[in-house]
Amino acid sequence: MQKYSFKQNKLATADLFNPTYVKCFADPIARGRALARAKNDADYRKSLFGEVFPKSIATLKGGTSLPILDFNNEAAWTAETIRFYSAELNLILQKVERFDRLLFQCDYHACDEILKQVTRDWGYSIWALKSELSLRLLRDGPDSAREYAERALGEAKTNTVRFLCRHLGIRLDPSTSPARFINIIARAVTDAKKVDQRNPLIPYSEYTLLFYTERPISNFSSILHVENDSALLDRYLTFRRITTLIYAMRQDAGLLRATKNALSIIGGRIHDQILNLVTACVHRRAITPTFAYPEKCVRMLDLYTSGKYADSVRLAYELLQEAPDEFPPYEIIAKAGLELGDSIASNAIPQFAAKVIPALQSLVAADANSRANHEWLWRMILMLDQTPWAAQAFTFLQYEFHHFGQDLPKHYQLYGALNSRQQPNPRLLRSLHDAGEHGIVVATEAIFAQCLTYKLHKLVTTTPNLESLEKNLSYLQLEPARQLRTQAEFLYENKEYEAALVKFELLDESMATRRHYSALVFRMRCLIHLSRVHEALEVAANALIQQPTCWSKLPLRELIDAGLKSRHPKVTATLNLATVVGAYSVNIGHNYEEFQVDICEDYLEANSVQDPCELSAPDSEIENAKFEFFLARGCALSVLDSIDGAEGSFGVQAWRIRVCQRVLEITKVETLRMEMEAEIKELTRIISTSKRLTVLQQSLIYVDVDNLRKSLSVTLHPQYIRFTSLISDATVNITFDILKCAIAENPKSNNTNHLIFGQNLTGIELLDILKAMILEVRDAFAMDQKYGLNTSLSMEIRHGSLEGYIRRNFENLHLVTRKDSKTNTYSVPRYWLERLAPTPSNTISSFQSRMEIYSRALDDYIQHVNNERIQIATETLLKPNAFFDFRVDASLLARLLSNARKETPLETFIDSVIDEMWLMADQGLTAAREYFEKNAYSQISTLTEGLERDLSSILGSSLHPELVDNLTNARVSLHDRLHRLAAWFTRSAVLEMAGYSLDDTVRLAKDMLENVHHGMILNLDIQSTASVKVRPRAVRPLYNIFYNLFDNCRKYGQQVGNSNSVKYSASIVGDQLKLIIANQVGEFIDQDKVREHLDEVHELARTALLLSRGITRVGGEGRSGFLKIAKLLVYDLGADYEMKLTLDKGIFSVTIILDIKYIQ
Amino acid sequence: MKALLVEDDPNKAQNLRQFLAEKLPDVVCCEAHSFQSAKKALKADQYAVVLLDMQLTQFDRSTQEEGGRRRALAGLELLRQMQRHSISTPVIVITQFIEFGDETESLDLKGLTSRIRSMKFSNYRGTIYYDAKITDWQKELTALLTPIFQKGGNRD
Repeated sequence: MQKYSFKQNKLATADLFNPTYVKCFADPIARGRALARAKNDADYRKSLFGEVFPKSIATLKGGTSLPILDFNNEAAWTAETIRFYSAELNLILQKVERFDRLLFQCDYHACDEILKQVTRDWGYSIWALKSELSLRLLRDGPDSAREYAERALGEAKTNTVRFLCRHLGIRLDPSTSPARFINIIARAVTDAKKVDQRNPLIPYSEYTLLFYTERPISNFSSILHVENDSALLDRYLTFRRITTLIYAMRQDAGLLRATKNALSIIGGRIHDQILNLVTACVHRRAITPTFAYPEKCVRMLDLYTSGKYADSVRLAYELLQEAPDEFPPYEIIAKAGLELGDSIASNAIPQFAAKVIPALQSLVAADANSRANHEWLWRMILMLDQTPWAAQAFTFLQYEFHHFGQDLPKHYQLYGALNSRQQPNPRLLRSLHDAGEHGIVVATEAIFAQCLTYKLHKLVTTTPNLESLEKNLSYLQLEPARQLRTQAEFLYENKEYEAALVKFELLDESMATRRHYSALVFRMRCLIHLSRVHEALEVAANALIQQPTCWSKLPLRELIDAGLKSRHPKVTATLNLATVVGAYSVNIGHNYEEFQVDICEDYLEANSVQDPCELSAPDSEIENAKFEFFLARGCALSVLDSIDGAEGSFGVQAWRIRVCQRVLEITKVETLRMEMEAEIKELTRIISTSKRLTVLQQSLIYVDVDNLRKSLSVTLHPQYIRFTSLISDATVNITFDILKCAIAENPKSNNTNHLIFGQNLTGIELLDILKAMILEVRDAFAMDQKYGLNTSLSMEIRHGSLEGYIRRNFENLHLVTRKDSKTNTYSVPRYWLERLAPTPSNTISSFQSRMEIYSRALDDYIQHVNNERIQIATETLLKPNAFFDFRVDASLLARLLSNARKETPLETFIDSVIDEMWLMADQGLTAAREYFEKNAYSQISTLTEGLERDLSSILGSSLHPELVDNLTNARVSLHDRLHRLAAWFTRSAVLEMAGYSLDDTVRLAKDMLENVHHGMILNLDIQSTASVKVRPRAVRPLYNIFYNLFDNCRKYGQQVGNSNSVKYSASIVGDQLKLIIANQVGEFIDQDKVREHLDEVHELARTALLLSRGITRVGGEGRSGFLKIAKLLVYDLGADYEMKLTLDKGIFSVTIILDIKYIQ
Repeated sequence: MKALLVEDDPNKAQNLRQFLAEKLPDVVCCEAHSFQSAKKALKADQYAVVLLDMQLTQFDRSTQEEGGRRRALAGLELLRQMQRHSISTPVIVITQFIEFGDETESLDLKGLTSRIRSMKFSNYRGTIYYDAKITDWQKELTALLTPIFQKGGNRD
């Protein structure tokens, strides 16, 4: 959007009262005339200021048609609006203030009343919306709040308000951590920037949703501009927040000037202590507070400073009752309580405070729950982000949780101190002093003249040397430890690190936990300044080993950066840096993952070994603990797979198992033992499953030759007796001549090498019988519904697997959408539609249509491969493009005839024909592999390239970068995927795997399904009491049964994101094994239709015809697969079974009962 | 003289190989298809230039090996490892993606280039966007290769 300035061409005088003119161009006199008119003209007022009191959520605006100005003018315009409505605003702010206090007092009924009153009298606002959510969250819990967010989303009309409602709803979800929420918004912002970098809603969204995070708030003019048409209260609160922030940041003189100017327009008309504080600071005037409880608050802080903790707590309790919306009493109760070792008197304070204070104590003490409490408190701050309490609590969080504070700009400390409505805070003066605002401090310090806390601060900042400090400290009557700490900090601030270090070391030993860490941090910093980095690392590593939860207190990043920079032999040859980096990786993030590899390699090199398992355990207890930590954390999979010597995924997993085993050899820490044992177990399972999956994927093509042989021995017996009786030299010679002629007439070349049994080879009995027997073996080998090749092609590949395997590659990249088989239409590509907006509707329509064409073309291609390629051709089954050509030619007859002997047993004859069949199958497999490695890639790539070309032309510059990358990714990953797919076409005998339990086959099916449908997750809740070892030949049928059952759950079950949840239970009663698979059916499923289908399956199951009918239908792809399961149970397991399908209250359940003997 | 092509996309590798064969017929093109194989190759041998893909799997893929984790900025890490092991072979990054990273951090091509530059690798020569449909990358690659081979590069 174009920015206007006053210097641009002015509108014609006729536009004097045009809102755009008044906002953008009018000089003060003209603007004054317009505002005067607005006083008396409601319509004009509305056109000038927009809907300041929207009567419903639907009329809440976000965004305006007025042009965007620079910050100076946007701020001035907002200030004009505030000034114009100052009377109304003062009334509203009284209510807001009261609401906040009542909320922290947990008087929810009164809060509700206020909210109703505010919305009734002054309309809706983002403040009201957020306040309702906070109220519901604290009073009723997240469900009620979420319900309100959803309702608001339904009512909201503008994109801005809808965006806010949607994301405020997400923020309420207890499973959405603040960090995750930030990622969600960051992602949405990144996507929005791809469409329009300058969209003012982007900074506005970040400002509204991520104010108390490390995300920088910027582009203040856009934020104010978006609210040009918002509720008055929102405009004011944003104005206050932004002016406070700009002052706290004090980075940009222009912004500060504009802030000063805007505050001057308001001219003290608003009765708001926070704005008055900011105004005083911006104008560099003395702060003249109108605080309600100055003495009590100052006394509380002084009592704390002088070590009279019990008295300070008593006062803090009083303040908490009177003004629970201010943060200092919470902090004092928490910290003084820790010093006293007292638990808080939770009955005497509001419920909210009773939750907050233990959380604060946990953070201060860095106990085992500090991470969870940090997250909870941060979540509360984000939820209550409109209150001054949140601003102050955020400052606390920044200070007490080191790594968190480290990422935050320092100005939040001053920002927090300025957000105080009622209590003067000596810390405000300290923050102002630290920010260089000495003038304000000097002008204001009179009000803190008797304040011990301030005196101490002043002493430290103004005393010239240590002697003078020591002398003056003695007058303040501080406890000895506090005096020592003050001296040490003084020395540190004056860069006397050696002397400071001595004092911090003295402090370190004797202090209570929280101050112990403070002293420890200073010690480390002193050592870094003194270039004794290895010692700093040792101090940190020792602390982390002794108290692992203290990571939140230590400046880990500073230490690591110094350590990595140093590369001192004492750094690389010890495990201190590894311990600190390990603690960082475990607790904070993976920023140093690559460096863990360097550290590991350096340490191994320093010890002249290549494998961490070869390292000797140190003697001392603490060094041994570091060594254990190094093996457990510093030699994680993500390190081992990058260091020299790593050999493949399986190799690295096996290596990690050895490392875990080494830890088990040396550690005495029970929790670590358990952790290592669990990791070994899990890795062993992964390796085993991966290997089994690989074997399974390369043995999809199989023929159950043993069973074929058995049945053929019976059926061929009479013919074979006759055949052998006809064998004599004469008949064989004559027959050979005939065959030679036939072969000569049909030379083997290209596709004409098959001489179909035809007219010219009939009438010779020997040949006729041989032909008939070969055809019978061929038909059994290729087409037998129980044991033949076509069954494995159908079950393992055509029925869903191939489609899933190829399609998933594109689904994950959002390039194809799901097809509704009833309507033969594809769902809309919502993922892209959300990212492409705003785009003209005709463009969207063309885009959608092109995406559908692509989805359809890909599915058609997969269908073509299934129906035409992965097929078997015979003389009667004419499939010219089939990979498997089982037409029998004269040369085969000749080969078999040449080996025919009277004395040859039937079994040997059958085997020789089966060998010939395998040769034919091998040719088909080779053709399939070649096809998938070469042709398939180019065919699918052609489709994708066509899509890319067309989308470029349809969308032009709106072509989303992610879409471009996904199209590239689709081509790149397709190559690998097809290569793997080609490997499916490898022949194997019937898969026999020993050592499988029933649960193994279940997990194998789950893993295979997730592998085929890459990206989907099957959440399997296994409740198995049946510990059954499966006989080798039953592994594949069982695996196939579970695969089909789970695939049904995937297709028809309720899906959350990419996950489907399934319950599996197995139990044994007597000799009977009972298997139950249950899942919630998807919302899109017509349950009545499902019931009809179940009835049909049950009906079939009841009749003796089931199997023959069923089997004829097994080959047909696309059904639910229950008949296939029936086939697997009957033929592959040879089982009598009972199968019950039920659908009750949306839960679909399959129960299979069979005798245990069939699988054992 | 040898060049090392670190690339896991067979089509892109083929086009780059072909291009190198035409432009630099005396240069033997060696290949690595993953982070680990590239790291090994760089430590074991000397090359005149490295053409480096950004996204790589940890290990070479095969029907027996899935390749391990796929790293969005594997190329950047290889550059860092080269610096750590004082391998000064000139490196040209060639990528066919315009966005890098994951849920938590996303970089566009410009951001990636800035990040590489900010790390001050002395052997880094530039980043090229590869698009098989157009020939711009060939011109850009020629421009970056020319000074390397005029100076002679690191001969084996």
